[in-house]
This record gives sequence, structure tokens and C-alpha cells, in this order.
Amino acid sequence: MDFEKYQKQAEDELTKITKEEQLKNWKAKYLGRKSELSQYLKTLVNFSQEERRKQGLLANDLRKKLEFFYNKRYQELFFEEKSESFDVTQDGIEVELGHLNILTHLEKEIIEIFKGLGFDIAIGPEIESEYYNFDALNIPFWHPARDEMDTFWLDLEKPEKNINLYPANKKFLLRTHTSPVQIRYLKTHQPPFKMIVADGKAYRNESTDARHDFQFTQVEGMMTGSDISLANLKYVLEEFLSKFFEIKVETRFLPSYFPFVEPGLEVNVSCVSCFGKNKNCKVCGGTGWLEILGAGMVHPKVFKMAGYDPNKYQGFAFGIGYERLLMTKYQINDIRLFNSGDLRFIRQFKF
Amino acid sequence: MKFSYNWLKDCLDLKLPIEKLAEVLNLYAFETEVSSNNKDILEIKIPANRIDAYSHLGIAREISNILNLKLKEPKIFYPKSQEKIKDYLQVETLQKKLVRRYSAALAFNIKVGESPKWLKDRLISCGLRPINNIVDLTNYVMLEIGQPLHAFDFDKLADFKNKKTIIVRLSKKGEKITTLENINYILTGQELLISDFKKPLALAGIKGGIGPEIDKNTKNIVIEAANFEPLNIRQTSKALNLKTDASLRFENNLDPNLTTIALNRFLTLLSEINQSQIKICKDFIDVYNFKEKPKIILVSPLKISKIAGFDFKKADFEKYLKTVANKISVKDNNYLVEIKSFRRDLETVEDLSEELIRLKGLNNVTSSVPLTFIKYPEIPKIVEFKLKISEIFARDFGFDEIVNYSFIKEQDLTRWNLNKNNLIKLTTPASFGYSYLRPNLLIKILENISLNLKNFNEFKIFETGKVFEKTNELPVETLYLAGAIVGRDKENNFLKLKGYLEKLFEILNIQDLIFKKGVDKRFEETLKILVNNKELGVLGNISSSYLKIYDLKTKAAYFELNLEKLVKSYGSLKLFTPLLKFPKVKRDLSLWASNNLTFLQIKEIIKNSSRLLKDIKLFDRITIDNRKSYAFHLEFFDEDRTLTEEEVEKEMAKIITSLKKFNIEIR
Repeated sequence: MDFEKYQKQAEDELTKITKEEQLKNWKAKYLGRKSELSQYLKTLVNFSQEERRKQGLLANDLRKKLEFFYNKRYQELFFEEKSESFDVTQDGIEVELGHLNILTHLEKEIIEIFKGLGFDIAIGPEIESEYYNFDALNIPFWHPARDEMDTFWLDLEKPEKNINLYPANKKFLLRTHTSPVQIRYLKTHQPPFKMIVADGKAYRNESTDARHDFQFTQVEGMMTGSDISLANLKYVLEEFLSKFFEIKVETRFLPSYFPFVEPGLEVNVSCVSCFGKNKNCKVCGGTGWLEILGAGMVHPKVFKMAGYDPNKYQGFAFGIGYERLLMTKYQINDIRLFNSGDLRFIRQFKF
Repeated sequence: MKFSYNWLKDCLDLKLPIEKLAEVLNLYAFETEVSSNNKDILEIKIPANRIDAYSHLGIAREISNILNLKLKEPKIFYPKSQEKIKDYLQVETLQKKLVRRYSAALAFNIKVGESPKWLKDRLISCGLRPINNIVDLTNYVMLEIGQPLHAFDFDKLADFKNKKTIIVRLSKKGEKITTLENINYILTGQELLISDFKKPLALAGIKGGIGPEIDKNTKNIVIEAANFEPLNIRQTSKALNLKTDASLRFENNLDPNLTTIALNRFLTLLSEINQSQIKICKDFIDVYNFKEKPKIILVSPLKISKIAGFDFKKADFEKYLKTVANKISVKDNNYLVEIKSFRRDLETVEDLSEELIRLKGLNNVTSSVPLTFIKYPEIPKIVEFKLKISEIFARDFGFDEIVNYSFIKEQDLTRWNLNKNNLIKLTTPASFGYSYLRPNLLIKILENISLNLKNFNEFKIFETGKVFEKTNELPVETLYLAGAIVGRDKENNFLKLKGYLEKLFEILNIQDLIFKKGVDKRFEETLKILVNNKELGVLGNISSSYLKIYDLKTKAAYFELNLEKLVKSYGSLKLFTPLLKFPKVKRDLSLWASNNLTFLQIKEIIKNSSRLLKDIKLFDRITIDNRKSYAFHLEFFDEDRTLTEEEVEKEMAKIITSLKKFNIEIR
């Protein structure tokens, strides 16, 4: 058999093939059971052993070549031109996402960070007794601090006797801060402990502007023990703020006053935008520091009110506004957006 | 509060420029800013407990402690006559508890006129309006020393046995007083008054009255320097809505020792500007009803170090302690400190710690890891549950989460036909007329829908938050979850939302969920959501009449769920189900809806007709020629063997037979 001629003929035909059907026929013709090649192989038994080996090798060689040509042609025809092409520079098809509210996302973050530091999570009611919101926090009814926290009083009868955790003869209000949960927590937990208050909606009856709203969210923190100090407060706050701002920050303590802590502090965080290096920085106003939260050492009267000996225990407490944190981090210019329900705002924050 | 930098320089040898001084005060004492429109003025926010700093002398004292500067006390020197005040004036205090101290001085032959320029300038820069030299001087001394003074025209006081008498008493119910601004007040019997035998002269500690005021003809004056019980002043000031520079100081517990110091200072300045014929009585009237005992605090450097978290050196400790102490006695490193009377705020060792750490510098506090015990944090189940559900809705279901105000408006009551008796009202409404706590999440969500339709046609939103209810006992607040799907096709909205809820319960592995047809006038179609036969919430299509109120030209399905009840059913573990060893056989079945039977009933018929039918799913519903048709995927299998074609055909035949019995047509 003339292998060369057989191969050339097969190759010539193969290049002309364009349809799958033709390709099938070609395969049957040159490689199939009835092909000349197969037929020839069957006749090899009549040859001498040496001739049989030689012809066998040549025939097998040819078969492998033809199979290779077949596969190559098959791929040329049917893999690469399988379907029509399209413009891949088109936009991706939009995926619809849901959006967790940025306040909820922060809540998750806060819980995660403080849980990591071993802080318990506590919650408390939004409708409070003036006792927990004020009296128990060393803000008796005559205290000027009551005026400063413009309170939403509720049109409800005072309880005549103690019911659950609502003391008799005390008016109802919407909590003006989350600090009442400190007292509720102290009543059921013996120091030493560390805790934060979650789900901290609070309310103040003030007129609104871009920096103030009558509803806001707070996280309250408290750590007590026999020697928990201001230095420990600094550590915990710097840990939290560095995680939150995703950058190592420092804090600075300034003297301040809240009736339920002593000493009372205003805490500044180093500017997360200019690091104190830009005199014209819009975020910090060139001071290098951002006003971010209030804190201090738990007032001995608070321990006393909750039934503990202030000589035995000390500790720190802090309160941070969610909105203030977020406005600083994301440069949000109006606090009222948080409760606006506007999806154009909500959908900007993807986590 | 405004302070003049130049005035402070009178009290201290101050070299720092005003901007630097503001910085120092910020770091060591009070929040301070240089006034933007007067470069001589510092705006200082002084907390209520630091009444000692409500004066230039007080701020100067603070600065002297911080910067280690010597404080120059204001000069006190004036000529005294031989006259004794007792011969002309007597003072009676009827409410000894409310009048801690009442001091008075008397000066004859004064000349009322305009104040000298330096005096007027200082008052103006501190925000006060000059009136005449006498009134201006009382104000000046108040700004300098901190003690409010009041001057009466001696000759206008009523005579009694040839003497003038000042009586400090409570008002009578219905008694009237007209203040210097010509405003009339009708009194209740609670207000403390300065009066003579005939008439009230002033609201004690708050405001002078018309009658005995200084005028240009006044020759002889009584100067009052008193100290009143703070609470009564505060209550009166609040009740009358009358806040003054004097009331602000009295209600914050002024030091009673100041009265005579202030009188001496007033008379010194008076004699300087009124040199002519002035004759000053050589003594004061001084009714001192309530002498305080000095406060004693036991403190040690160790205790302060423990609070600060850094080592407080003994030398620093003693240096700063001296700034607030009259006397210190030391025993075994314990210091017994007698606190100066003007430091009204220092009562406990913690108060002292504040003072010492602050003066030393809060920048000495450096971060230090607390040494603490190991314990896995305690977390209320509802906190984690709420976050989990929010994540499911936002991340798995693609809803957007809203956080609304917790209030509704007066107009919502009529719109939603709400019963006032169940609502909690604010005593004064918030901004935008919000006046009640929300009784459900729906009202605000409908507002959200209305707002967002301006920018979006279709969306899915949800909220978790408290709703509030007034009851016969305590007010009740309950955590709810609510959500809505907004779009034109109301059946699609509703069934999608139902689908999400079914999937939610599947994720939470809460069994025994039942949707039961119900009635709720807020909705057109309503399903009550029941778990273990307890109603946990509702799903419905918001009624067209409500959509109309909010002018919505689309449809919306809504659901709400009581999360506090739901959390109780949550938490069971879903165990693994072994994978099937044998293949499932699938068949489709299309049929026409019936007029008599609900979808659910038809589904029950199919289910009950075949033991081998393990799953039935609606995959299409179409309407052809006004007839509704459902198409189902049916799945047959047996856990123990492979089903044959013949077996499945038999099962299908059974199903079709039972359907035909109920006159359901196969399509």
C-alpha cells in the first residue's frame, strides 16, 4: 500500500471539509473499519514476520497522523467557530444587592470588636424611668444637667408602686443616653466586669440641623474592677478606634464634666485624614484632633446607688455617638440622613 | 461665659498670648475659644459644678495653678465713716434655710451718673449693658469676684420705727411683683422675696423689682450681697422662665464666704469713682444663718495613682493638693485635707483625683492593657437574632434596610384611625410635629415608600425597631421586623414576600409555620403568620385607600413579625438528612384553577392521593382566556428502591382521578 499517497489524498480532502457530516464521512473513509488502511492491516497476517512488523509500524504511524489531523480539523471547525462573538467591553449585567443600614453595620462592627476584647453585651428599654436616666446617675431632679439634656417626657401616669424595674413615683421619659443601662447592668452583675450597651437608640428634644437630630444612637461602655484606671480606658478606646478607623490612632484626654463620672473627660482622636499635618485640613480644622466621645471614671455615687462600696471598686465608662463616628469616617455632611429612609443614602454603603 | 484677657492680666502676671492661653485652658481646665469678633475675649464653657470659676478672679486662680503664677488679689481699701449700719437698717430673714447668708452695706451721699470709660468697656466686652455707675459697679464686682450684688435706693425703702427694714420671706399666694423690665409676675407662695414692710423689692437672687431702684436722684444706697439656697432659686427661675446672671450663680451653689469680700470690693471701687462727699458705714449687716463646716477628704498619692494609671509623684501630689487645701495633715502617707470653701465641687477622693490629674496634665495618662479575667462574653439572644435577620434580609434576600424615627405625627392618628388611648404621647412634640411613639412600623414604611418612589420604581425595604403601646400597667415596647415589596403587580409582590418569609423560617429552622387567611383593615389580602398556633405577625397587600392617602400610584405588599416572640422559637439544630441512594422520578402536571377550591386545597388533594409523591412545587401560573392555570413539578421516590415507570404512571393516574372527583380539569 502507498502510505504517502493515502496520506496526501486524505489531507487534501480534509482541508476542503466544512461540515460536521463531511468530517464524519472522512473519518469513516480513512480511519473507519472499512477504510483502505484497516483493510490493509487485516492482510498483514499473510506477510513474513519481519515484513509484518515493518508494515505494521508504518500503518500505525499513519493512523496516528490521520487521527491527529482529524482532531485538529475538528477543533478548527467546531470549537473555535462554535458561536457568534460579542463585544466584551459592554457593561456587566447589574446584580441587585440588598444593603444593610450603615447604623446596623456599625453595630455589628462594635459588637465584634468589643466581643473580641471580652466585653459583655447589654441592652435596655428606650422608655426609661427618670430614676435610671437621671437620679441613679447622680443627676438629681435639681441638677442643671437635666436642663442640658432636653428630655422627651412621656404623657404617662407615674407608677404608684415599684413594678419590675420601674420605681414608684418616677416619671417616664425617652432615654436621653444609654447610661441608664449601666445602672440596670450593675444591679444584676457584680464587679469586676466589662460591658457595652448595644441597640442604643436615644432621644433628645432639640431642634435639628446638620449636626443635631432628636434621635441618635449611642454605644455605652463600662469596665469595673479593683484597679481599672484611666490608662486602661485609653487602651480600650485606642483599640476600638483604631479598628473602627482601620488605621492606628491616638487619643487625647481633655477635662470635661458629666455628673456620672469623675474625672470626666472629653476624648479626642488624632485626625484620621491629615494626621495633624495639614493646617487647612477640612476634617479637623487644622487642629489635628477630632472631638469624638465623652468618658470618665464611674462616679462613686453611681456605685453607691447600685449598692456597691465605692472604696472597693472603680472603673471607667464611655459613651460614643454612632452618627458622629460615621460622619467623621465617611465625611457625611448631614446627621438627618441617617433616619431619612432615603435609599439614595442607604445604598451608598456596601459592606 | 465671656472673659476679658486684659482683665485676667490684672489678676496675674500673664505673658502668654491669648491664643496660647486658650490652648492651655482647653488642655488643663475648660473648653475655651478665642471669640471670633473680639480678640480680647475668651469664650469659656464652665461646667455647673465649677461655680468658683464663674468670675475673672476664679479663672485667674485656675490659670495660676496651671502655670504656677502668683495670683494678685483685687485691692480692698476705702475710707470708713463712724456711722454704724444698725442705726439705719435692719434685716430679718424669715426663711433661715433658704437664706444662708445676707450681708448688706450702706453708703451715703453717693452720686449717680455715667460710669467711667474703662468700666463701661469691660462690661460691654463681657456682654453686659452699662446703666449707671452704681448698677455697673455691682455687675463689675459680680464678673470679677463671682458674687451677685444688688443696690437699693435707701430712701425709697419704707420706714419702720425710724429705721428701714429689709425682710427676706416667701411670697404670698397671688402676690404681684413688677421687675425692672416692667414685666409682671403673679407669685405662688414658693418664691423667695426681698421686701420691706410694705412691698416686695426684688425676686431674691434673680431680679430686682420696680420701686427701690437706683435713679439719677439717688443719694444713699443699700448694697445687698446674699447667698440663697440653690434649689429654691433654680425652681423659681425655671417656673418664671427668668434666667439671669444672678440666678445662674446662686443656683449653682455659690460660696457663702464671698458676700463680705464682694461688699468690700464694691465699696473700694465706689470710693474710687465717687470721691466727693461719700460716707460709708463702718460695718456691715451680716446675717449668717447657715455656716458650713469645712469639707475634709482623706487621700493618698497611691489612691490617685490607682485612678490615673500612672505613678503620681509625692512632690506633685503635695504641690497640687495645696491649691485647694486650707490645711493638710499627713499620717503614714495618708493626707487629711481641709478643702477651701470656694471649691464647692470637691467632696470625695475621686473629685480630688480629677483635680490633681488634670493639673498634672491628662497627657501623662498613657495607654495600658487592663489585667483582667477570661470569660466568654454574655450576649442577649435577641441582639444576635436581630443582626442575623437583618443580614438575611439584606444579604440573602436583597432588601435595603431602613432606620426610621420612632415617632408618628398627629395627622397619622386620623389617617390610620388610631386609638389615642393606646398611644404614648410626648408632653412636647419633637421637630416636624412628631408627637406620638409609633405603634407599628407600617406608618413610617409607607412614608419611606412614598419618598423613594421619586427615585425608584420597584424596591424591597425592611426595618427592625421598637414599637410602643400604652397599657393599664407599664408602657410596652416590643422589637418588630417589618418589610415591604413595592411594584406594579400586587400578586407578584405578595407571593414574593410570602416566599421570602417561607425561606426565612427555613433558614431559622422554625417549624410549624402556618399562613392563615385573616382580616385586617389595613390590607386587601391578609395572611396571619402563625408559629405553634401563636400569631407572630401578618402579611398583606396594603389597602388601596391607604396607598391613595399617600398618593402612591403603585402597589405594595407588607409584613411584620414580632421578633421577641419569634426568637423564642428559634435555636433548634437542623440535623443532616442522608442523601438519597435511589433516583427521583419527576413529572409535570398542569391543571385549571377551580372556582370552589383554593390553591391550597387543590395542593392537599394532590398530596393526599399518592404515598410515593414526596414533593410538589408550583412552577408556573398563567391566565389563558380569563382562566387561571397552575403547573406543578411533582417528585416521586422511595428511600429503599428505584421506582419503575409503571409505578409512577399508576401514582399519576391516582392523582388525576382524585382531582377529577373534585371537578378539577387537567390541562
